[in-house]
Amino acid sequence: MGMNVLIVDDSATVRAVLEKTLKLAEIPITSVHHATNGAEALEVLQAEQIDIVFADLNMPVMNGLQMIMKLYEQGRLKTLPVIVVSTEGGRQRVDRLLELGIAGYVRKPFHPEDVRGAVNQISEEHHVNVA
Amino acid sequence: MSLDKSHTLPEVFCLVVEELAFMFGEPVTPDELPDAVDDATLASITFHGPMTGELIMIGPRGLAFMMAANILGLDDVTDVDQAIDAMGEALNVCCGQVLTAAFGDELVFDLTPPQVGPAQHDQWQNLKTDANAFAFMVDDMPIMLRLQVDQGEEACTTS
Repeated sequence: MGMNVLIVDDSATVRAVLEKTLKLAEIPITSVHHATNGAEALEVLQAEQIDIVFADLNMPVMNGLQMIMKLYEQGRLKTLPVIVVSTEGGRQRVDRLLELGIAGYVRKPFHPEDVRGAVNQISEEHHVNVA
Repeated sequence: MSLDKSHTLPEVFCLVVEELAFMFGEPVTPDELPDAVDDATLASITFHGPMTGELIMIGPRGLAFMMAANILGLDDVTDVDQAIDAMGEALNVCCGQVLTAAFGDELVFDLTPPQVGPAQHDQWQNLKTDANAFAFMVDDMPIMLRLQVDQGEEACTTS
């Protein structure tokens, strides 16, 4: 059984490429949901059973950091793996996100093996089913 | 804290277009570029943090369509929204990478979502004569970039 994935990015191009990358990386997927900002993502997370989230930081309406703070306050980061996929490279910000409990960080531009590596890294910690 | 005035932006931009869009970028001098381009399109993104500033990219509209097709792995893209989105994302990635390359990973910047639209008729020409702009040919298409840093320990306008 595959994962239910949520991809959060205001760029439709990135969402499409990330979805394609997940398939190329042979990560088993049951469904892929899209959100264009953090607020939309929180709505999807309320309505759907999501196993893993890939989220950008730089987005309008509600950015990725704000979304992650909400998930942290709700205690959801303990059980929901969130992988940040962003162009930002500030070490302090990445460290802060890791302290909050994100499961991984992939920097843009990314290769399929970067995404696969991040998913593999968290699969045991979060007991996500990855073939 | 200063920017490398000659290498950072060209190196980062060429690397990003190659890795993100599988396109080959080559720095050229502005006088090697045409005096005008078809349907010039401008992408801009601003950043805020220890320094604030803006990165802009201008090129022919066809560039945005080619970027979209290459990033998405499609033979052709005809959807304008897809093209605009791809050009904005390319600039977004370039901006994040160039800030780290220029200032290191100790500083934190917030980037605004990129804005993409038609360039004003004189913007291409103005940038061609701007000493702080960098010119490129990317897969035989002319492009110019300009990074402006407005505030900080050492305000500057360069790359």
